[in-house]
This record gives sequence, C-alpha cells and structure tokens, in this order.
Amino acid sequence: MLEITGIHKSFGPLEILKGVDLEVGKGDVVVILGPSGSGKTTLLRCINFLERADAGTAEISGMHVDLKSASKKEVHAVRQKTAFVFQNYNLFNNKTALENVAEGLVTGRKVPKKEALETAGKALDKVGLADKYDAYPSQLSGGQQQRVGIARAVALNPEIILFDEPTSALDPELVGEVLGVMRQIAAEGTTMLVVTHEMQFARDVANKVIFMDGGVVVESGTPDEIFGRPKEERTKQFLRRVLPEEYNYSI
Amino acid sequence: MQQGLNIEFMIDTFFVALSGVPITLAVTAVALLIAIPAGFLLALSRVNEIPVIRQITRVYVSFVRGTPIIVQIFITYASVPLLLTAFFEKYGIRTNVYDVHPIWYAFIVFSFSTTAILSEVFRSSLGTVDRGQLEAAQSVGLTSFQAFRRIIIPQALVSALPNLATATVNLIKATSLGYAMSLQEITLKAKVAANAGYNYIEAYIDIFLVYLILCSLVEFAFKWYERRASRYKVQPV
Repeated sequence: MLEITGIHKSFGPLEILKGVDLEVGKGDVVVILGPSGSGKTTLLRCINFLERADAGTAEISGMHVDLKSASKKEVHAVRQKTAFVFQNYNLFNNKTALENVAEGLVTGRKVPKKEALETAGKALDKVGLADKYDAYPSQLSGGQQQRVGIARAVALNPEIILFDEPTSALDPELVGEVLGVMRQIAAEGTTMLVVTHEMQFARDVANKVIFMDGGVVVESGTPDEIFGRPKEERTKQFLRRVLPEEYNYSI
Repeated sequence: MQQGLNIEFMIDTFFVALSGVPITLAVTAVALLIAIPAGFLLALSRVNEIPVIRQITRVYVSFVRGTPIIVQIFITYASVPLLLTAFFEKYGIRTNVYDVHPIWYAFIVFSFSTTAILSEVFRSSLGTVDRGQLEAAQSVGLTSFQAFRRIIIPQALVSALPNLATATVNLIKATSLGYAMSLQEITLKAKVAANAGYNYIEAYIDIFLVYLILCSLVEFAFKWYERRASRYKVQPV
C-alpha cells in the first residue's frame, strides 16, 4: 500500500533522516515510536510533501514517486491519496467544523457542495460531534478540534491517514476522546501511520510498531515483539524511560 | 474686518467644501483600487522571499515612507509632464501635457504611496496567519493558490482591517495636499471661497468638519465590516 525507501532529509548541517525504509500494508495500523528529535514527524511530513526529502522514493497504492523531485502534479496526486492529522489540529480558523471537513472535498476534489456537506456531516457524526456542525474552531475544546481534524481526514476517504502526534497538544483529560475516535476508525479498517507517545494505544491498536532513533529505524515488529521482547539496547532504554512501572516486569 | 465668525459664510462654504468630496473620494477610491491588489502582490513577494522583486519592494517602501507626500507630489507634478512631453513628441501625439487634468497626477501619486503603505500592512497581516493553515489546506488537496484564496487571505484580511482603516483615513486626509497641484478637492475649494472675503477661520472650520465627518464615516464602516468579518473569532463557549 505504502512503501518508503531510502528517505534522507537534512535541515542545514543537521541530518534528521538517515535512510529510512518503511512499509504499511492495506488496513494496517503502524505506530512510530521514538524519542523527540528522532525524525518521526519529519518522516511523516516528507511523505505528504510538507517537507521535501533530499532523497528517497515512495510507492503509494501503485503510484511511484521520487520524494525529492516529484512534480507539482505528482505531489497533488499523493495528497489526494493521503490525509494528515496535525499535532496542533490546524483547523481552518475562518470556517465552521462542517466547512472544515467539506473544504477538501469541495475545493480539492471538486465534489458537488451538497454531497460534500453530507459526507462532512457523516464524518462529524462518526467522531461524536453531531451537535457541533456550525461551531468555529475557537468555540471548540482541543479534543473537539482534533476530532474535527480526524473527521476532515476521514471524509476524504484516503488510502492512508498520517497522524502526527495527534494527542500531544491536548490536556491529559482530553486525550482519551481523541484516542477513542482513532481506535474506532482503526477498527473500521482505515490504514493508519501514527506518530505518537501513547504507548497503550500502540500496544492495543497497532499491528506493527516501528522504533526510530537518530534518524534511522532501530527496530520494528509486532507490539508484542517490541514491547515484550525488544532486541536492541536503544529500544529497551527508551521503553524503560517511557513505560510506567507496572509494565516493566514484562521487559 | 468684521468681528466674530461669519456664520452665513461658514454655512455656505460648508457646502462648497462638501462639493469637493466626490473628487476626494474618487482619488481615494482609485488609489485603493490600485494599491490593494498591488500592495498585496508586493507583500507576497516579500513573504515568499522572491528574489529581486523583494529587494526592489524594500527600497520602494523605504523611499515612500522616508519622504513627505507633499514632496512626492511636487516631484510628480514637475517631472511627469516633462516625461510625457518627451514621450508624446517621440510618438507624434499632439496633446498639450499642461491640459492634463490634475486628478491624473493625484491618481499616480496617491496610488504610488498607498501601494507601499499597504504592502507593509498586508505583509504583517500575512504573518499573523499560522503556517499550519497553509499546510492543512495543502494536505486536504488544495493548491497553494486555492489555499491562499479560501483560507489564508480571508484570515489575513481580517487582521489587516484595523491597519487598512488607518491607511484609508490617512489617505483621505493626505488628498488635501492635492491643492498643491490645484486639484479641486475639499481643501482647495474651501480655501478659494475664503480668499474672496478673507474668511479663513470659517473656511478652515468647514474643512475640519467635512474631513471629520468623512473620516468618521469611513472608520465606522470599517468597524462594522471588521465585526462582521471576524465572526469566526468568537470566544469559546
């Protein structure tokens, strides 16, 4: 479904991604873990061309693109197949929840407005915001905004949704509602690539976990393999730091 | 010379001054119609760091900001006819440049200076729109052009409105300098009326009142529009 090969990216002298390969199958939920600065977010942003990689290729549902030299048309095509959920939600401030979700359909995909609003309504219903169609982002809590952000991605019916630390900007008590929505759409068979620090979510929902550090993939495997029997020393160190005490006996 | 204010003259002259309003508004409107799109494009060239145009814009902006409008008027009014004469002679156009209506010079000067000012207004207002808005728009499949038109410009415009109102009011007031090139606007009309009987105080009060009313109306209109356009900024409920 999605296959990334040899992706490199530097910001000035700082090399963030040092050749990352990645494979996501249809219906997979792949979670990327790793300490901050390990390149997780950059990886995601390069896939959606929010950053230009210095090297690397991608295969997205049969379409082959060079991540460095893709043309405008190819970038557009990739973005039609993917959707992005941002850490800071990035809802369109000048549009209501319903308009936010419909915007990509109407303007980006030329779906007739009436049909787009219907699809957008259904997406908002799905994330539990049936009563917030006409609310502006400034009237919504962080958790609600992020759920609109997820609805905006889901409504596009993309091949894959990229989640960039979707709960990191939220108050702790609002994290649950967003993760709940993510579990739900994962259960519906949505292909998801998720960067997160929510270990419980990775354990429960992911069918593949990737541990990144220093711009490379250190280790990848099923949640049981990564959390239960990590092979690499760096993975073990990271898990010791982030997992609460009660999980440590299993390591 | 009579004592006190000549009220009758003052009332008459008020309407004389008022008859200059269409010219003042015409100059203001033309200057804004040219300066808003032009200033916006220049702002974009600076925000997106487009080489050459960006440097030229910078020089142009500091040139306009660093010189009084009255000097810009003198220079334009003195140099444009010379350029035009040379141009007309070269292409054999038989027009006397000194028959050109001064309003054309006013259009040139005020468009020129307002464009520079608005490019700064738009530059700062574009800066208030978070980069994430563009990224989100692109991620849902909008082109950069669509993202600017549908998401970024509407938000930038709202944050530009207070400064745009100030710039417009300043422009209206600056058009009073049009008298230096015998533009028949509010100030000149009232001053000419005053010349006859030396009723300068009355005429100045009239001019004062006309500008005050005009600028207050414009400010009120902007306030109203700002409230309407920033409805999305409602406080959390």
